Amino acid sequence: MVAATIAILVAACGNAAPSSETPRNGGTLIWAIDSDATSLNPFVISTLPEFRIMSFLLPNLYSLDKNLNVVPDLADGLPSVSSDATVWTVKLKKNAQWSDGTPITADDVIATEKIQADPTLDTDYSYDWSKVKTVEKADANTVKFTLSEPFAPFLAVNLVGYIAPAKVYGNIDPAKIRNDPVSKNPTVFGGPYKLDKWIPGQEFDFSANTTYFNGRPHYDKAIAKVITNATAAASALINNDVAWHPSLGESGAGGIRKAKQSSNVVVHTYQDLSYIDFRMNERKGHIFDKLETRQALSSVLDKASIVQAATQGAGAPLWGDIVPASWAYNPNAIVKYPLDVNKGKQYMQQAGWTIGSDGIAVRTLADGCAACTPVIKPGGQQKFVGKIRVRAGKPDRLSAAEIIADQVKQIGMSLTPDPTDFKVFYPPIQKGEFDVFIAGFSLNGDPDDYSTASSAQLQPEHKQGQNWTGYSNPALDQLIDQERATVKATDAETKAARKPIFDKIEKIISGDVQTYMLWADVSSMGWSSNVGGVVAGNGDNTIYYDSEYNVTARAGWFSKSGK
Amino acid sequence: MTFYLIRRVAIGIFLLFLMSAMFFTLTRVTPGAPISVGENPRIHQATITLRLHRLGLVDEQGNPYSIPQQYVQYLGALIHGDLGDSYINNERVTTLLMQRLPNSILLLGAALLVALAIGIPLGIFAATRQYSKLDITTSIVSYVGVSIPSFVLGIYLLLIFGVILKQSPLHWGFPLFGMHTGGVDDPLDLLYHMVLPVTSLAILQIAIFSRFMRASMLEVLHQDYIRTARAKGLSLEKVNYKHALRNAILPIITLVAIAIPQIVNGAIITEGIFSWPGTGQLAFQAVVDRDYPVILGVVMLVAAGTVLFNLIADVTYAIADPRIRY
Repeated sequence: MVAATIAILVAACGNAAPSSETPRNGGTLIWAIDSDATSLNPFVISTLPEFRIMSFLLPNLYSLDKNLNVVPDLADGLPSVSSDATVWTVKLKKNAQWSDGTPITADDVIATEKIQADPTLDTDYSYDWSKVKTVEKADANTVKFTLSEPFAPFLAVNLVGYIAPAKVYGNIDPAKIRNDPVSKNPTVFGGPYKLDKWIPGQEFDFSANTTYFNGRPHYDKAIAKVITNATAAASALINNDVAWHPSLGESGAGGIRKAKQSSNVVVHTYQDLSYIDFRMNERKGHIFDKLETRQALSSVLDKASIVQAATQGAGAPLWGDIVPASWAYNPNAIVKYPLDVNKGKQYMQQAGWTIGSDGIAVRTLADGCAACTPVIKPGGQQKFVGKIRVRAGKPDRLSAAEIIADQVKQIGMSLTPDPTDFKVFYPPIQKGEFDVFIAGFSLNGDPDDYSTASSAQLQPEHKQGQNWTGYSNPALDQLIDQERATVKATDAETKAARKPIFDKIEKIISGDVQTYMLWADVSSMGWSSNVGGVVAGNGDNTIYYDSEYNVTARAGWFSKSGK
Repeated sequence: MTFYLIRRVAIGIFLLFLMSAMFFTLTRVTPGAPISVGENPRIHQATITLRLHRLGLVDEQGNPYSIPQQYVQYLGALIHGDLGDSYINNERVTTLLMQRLPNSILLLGAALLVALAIGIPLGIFAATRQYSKLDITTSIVSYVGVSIPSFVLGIYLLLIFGVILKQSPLHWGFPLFGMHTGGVDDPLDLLYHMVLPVTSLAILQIAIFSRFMRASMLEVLHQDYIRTARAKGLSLEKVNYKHALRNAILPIITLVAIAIPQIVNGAIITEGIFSWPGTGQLAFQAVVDRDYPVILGVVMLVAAGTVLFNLIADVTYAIADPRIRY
């Protein structure tokens, strides 16, 4: 769906407490994944279970820590940036080696970048290395990236990710990489564990990579069991049949509650980096083309009740498109429209809509609308009637669509939920042929809004991009360009300089209702109380980061009982 | 008999051909492409062409094949046992089916054997003691068994034996998921994991087999030749088990013949409940993912199984009942 890294960020929960036990080696970590992998090729995988498997097997150049800070993994320290902010130099740890005993070098980093940047690479994962002009090997352990221009997201977007062994993947034609035998049978590893066996549909067996450069993982073995039944997986955690269940939230509120009540289990509940929103077609002639219409919508929707009813507590109401988990989040920078139906009606009038005898708003379109369905001739009448496109099989989103459709009737908006299969969901949206859609967006470690809000990313106006709303604002474009180009000598300085710009961006996006934000997904993850070394982070919402990037954290877990 | 067999095989092949054409066309006219948005928007056109060509949808230049052209290709490969590539799994459909089929055969085969071993004697027992307390009890239990879908039963079994008992002070129960305990691979562990899914699948079949067996047995037991056999002084056991059973078993052969191809299909819901890695789970995921080649593969396998086992049932009829001639 969205060309961004799937990432999950964990937020604090009452019963989670950092372990104080001394780490010990031994035991087997059995954990649950909710579906089998379709590939174990790092360039091909695209689902969260696949990334979780991969996080046991390959190192990252940089990782994101429990508070979403970029931290070195394979790299030896944060990168040094040239004074013109275009040359990023990364040094690698000298003791790093693959499971076959050969060193992990600059060649591996360069090969990984080359494969990801290859335009013919056959993958469902969207890599973007377009800002990189050259990648060079300064010495065996130093890589120099030269960018075409200063690009702040480079650290969190491009340098946080897997490094694959050049000797394994470097000689495969990227266009044929998907079906290469190595995709099903990887043999060289650099992460904390090595893959011993993959039994399709059943399990993945790992053993400790004793030469892992960040220190031997504490567990001797790890086993990922495929458990497709969410309730069974939650019960398995409570029964101590599995010691880690990363998708505990899938078992619903009841499953989470039981897990929390169990003395065997430690649960972390977190707001992740994905969000759900109500995205309108704001192109001229479409029903949401005027700012006042979107303000009217914002004034009549009771967000808290919509989110609670639709998600049953598995969503946190969201107002801006920077999720609370992000370092750039500032609740004071967001414009919130208070619930006020009369104000909503005023906005509708300002936008030229009057409520007809049938309760549906109507307006006269002086210029008509050739792109509308049905086509409206100049001077013709347009009724406020539209469809809310929502993915079939997503009951929370459908429920939100139904409640929204009901609440906006008060101001003459007639919107009908239109559940649509995923395979045919996006093509009309890409062509700009929609009224509204509710969709989920996943984010990476950088809060950059370029792909969804910049006018350079309008689609279908441009070939690529995810700004499907048609929203275009030169002032916003300028701010986005500015935050992307703001690079300082250190990551902390860069963040400090970008944060005020993000505040301005959020004010425009939320004030103009570029998209009506609904909720951030709230997920839950459970560990057996026998698992030590599970570290919770600080901050309002963020306590634990789990995704493909958290390789080293896996190595820090240990069995308190030694079993 | 030989002519009959040839005719039936020919009809079977024709049916399979018809079904493959029908389902193939259905999968091709359904909206939604194998490569669509939601995947990589930056993917190169040449790479898309390569993938679509591998899936038999376009030629090497990217020109789309018509549905009849695609079908001819599919049929050509099918004759050689090649069911094409999965859209999702980056794997041959044949390989995926061969990975999962033994697991389904094991699970559903065991359930079928258990059901036959319990259901048929139960039906005979009830019929030969008609209206006894045991007959009435068997009938009530059978009705209940028939009325509860196996997936509902599966959930309750899982809840009682996998959750409640395990979390009780007894700490006793059966595994909640999978074919094996993680990292273990021995027959006893396999049996331990089979208990709940086999039970949930077998109970419905036990109920069906026992009901049919009872009805069929009762019908036969009221025939004149049975009365004659008794009048001639044959023992009750000989009358029941030699003369009556052989005739009463015929409808059960049909039932078994219908049940066996379902093994190939897998128990879609039950395999999902118990995370059993069989063809049912594969088929379910394929439907969710719209992985048409896999769906088509499973459908063709079930169709072939149905044709084959119906033929076997008809032949078995002739063996079981010498009066039947083809």
